[in-house]
Amino acid sequence: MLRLLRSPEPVQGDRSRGGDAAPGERPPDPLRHLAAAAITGNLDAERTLLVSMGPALLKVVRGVLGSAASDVEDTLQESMVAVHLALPGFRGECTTLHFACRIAVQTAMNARRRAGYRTKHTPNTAPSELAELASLDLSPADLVAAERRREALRQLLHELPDPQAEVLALHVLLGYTVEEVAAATAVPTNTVRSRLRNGLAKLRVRVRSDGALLEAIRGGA
Amino acid sequence: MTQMDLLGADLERDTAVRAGDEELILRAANAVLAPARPSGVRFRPRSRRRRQVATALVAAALISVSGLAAAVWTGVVPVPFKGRLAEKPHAIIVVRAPLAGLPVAAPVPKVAPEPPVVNVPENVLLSSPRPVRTTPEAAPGASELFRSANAARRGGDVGRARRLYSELIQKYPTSDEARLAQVSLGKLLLAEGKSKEAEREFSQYLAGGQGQLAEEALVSQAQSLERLKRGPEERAAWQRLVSEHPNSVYAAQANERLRALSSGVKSGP
Repeated sequence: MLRLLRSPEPVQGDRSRGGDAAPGERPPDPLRHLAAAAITGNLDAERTLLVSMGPALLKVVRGVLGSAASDVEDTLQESMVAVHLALPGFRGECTTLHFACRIAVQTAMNARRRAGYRTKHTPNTAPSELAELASLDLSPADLVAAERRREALRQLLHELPDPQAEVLALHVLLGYTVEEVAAATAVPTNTVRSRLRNGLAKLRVRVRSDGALLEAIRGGA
Repeated sequence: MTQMDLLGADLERDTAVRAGDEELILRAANAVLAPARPSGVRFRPRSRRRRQVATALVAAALISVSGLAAAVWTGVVPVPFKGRLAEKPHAIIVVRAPLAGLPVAAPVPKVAPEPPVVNVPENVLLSSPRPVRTTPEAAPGASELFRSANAARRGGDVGRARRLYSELIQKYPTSDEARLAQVSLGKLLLAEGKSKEAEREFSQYLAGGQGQLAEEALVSQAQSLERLKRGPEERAAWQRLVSEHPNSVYAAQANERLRALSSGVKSGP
């Protein structure tokens, strides 16, 4: 699942891959008209725009902070405020959702730094959430292992320099391919590839070493 | 599955849309567009409004300075609440509020309590925010089936979850997802009282060699065999758990059950 992927070649007639867009033309952006209306001060349009992008922004925030973090909603709101403030400067160089998700990544990473997530820890998972997750396919040990893996990613995002962390977050959390990350961050593809390779290598080390630590904890119990 | 693949599954599970998300998103969007309140009455987040705006300004400035290249991503965009905005009238005061330090826009009259009339394109999806990367006619892959099955199970649609797990195992038998699905499917069957079918799934999982869920599969297999009143096989499952996973969190449970089975044999005729 976590691999450096190439963008699929556009298929003739496949709108989801921009098959209808001629070379050099912008791909379809379903939210473009909402963004344009929001920029002119249409609050209904802006509200619809924020709500439409909400799930993707929430996904990013949860990925960076952890779904059990107490400030998920606050950070989501911060992300929406940031999008609201940045909209007037949005010139449509990329899709609206792409634009907003990048803001959400940066906002969430800043929020995490503010919260002082400097030491490794496993946040307490709400009992109801544990019960739901453990209902059928995850044992308590698996739950702990899963949270440790996610925390390894979050900790790495916190420690990496911003450009590398952003690239890693866009790829791992949102599934952007190398080409998509390059387009979103205005960075050459080879640079993105290099940053991703380094970031994923560090992530593998973290995840594996945390897995080994978990086994040691199990053995010492 | 490698640890990295498991991390991918963890992230999917952790960041998936869940009950209450719609309200959370609406709350956040309304707070962004809410009017100013009298001093002393502050909306969420209470203690971090100034930092929130400062962070937002920094983020917005970073985005503006760095610029955005033309994207090549052409995925469709989800609108998860398609139709609901029309179904659920709301009364929202949209008088623009002065955010700290920003110029105040002219006040906008109250909007009547009717849904916003903004047409959302028909080609947006409702479910996952992840863009669709396959043609409409392409069959779902193993990971997609696994995600859908897990979502159905979490949503309480056990029948659909069972069907999807079975389809995954049938169509992609050698995939890592199919291996995990065997345990999930087995547990669903066990919960439904179909112990024989459940035991078959666990046996097949265990026959495939050591897997991430070997301990869980052994426990569930033993429980299935207990319900089927196949004592010797149940004992063998518990013994295998204890010998192969001596530090398992289930070891105490296994030893207790083995003692009970031994007592039962001793007290037999």
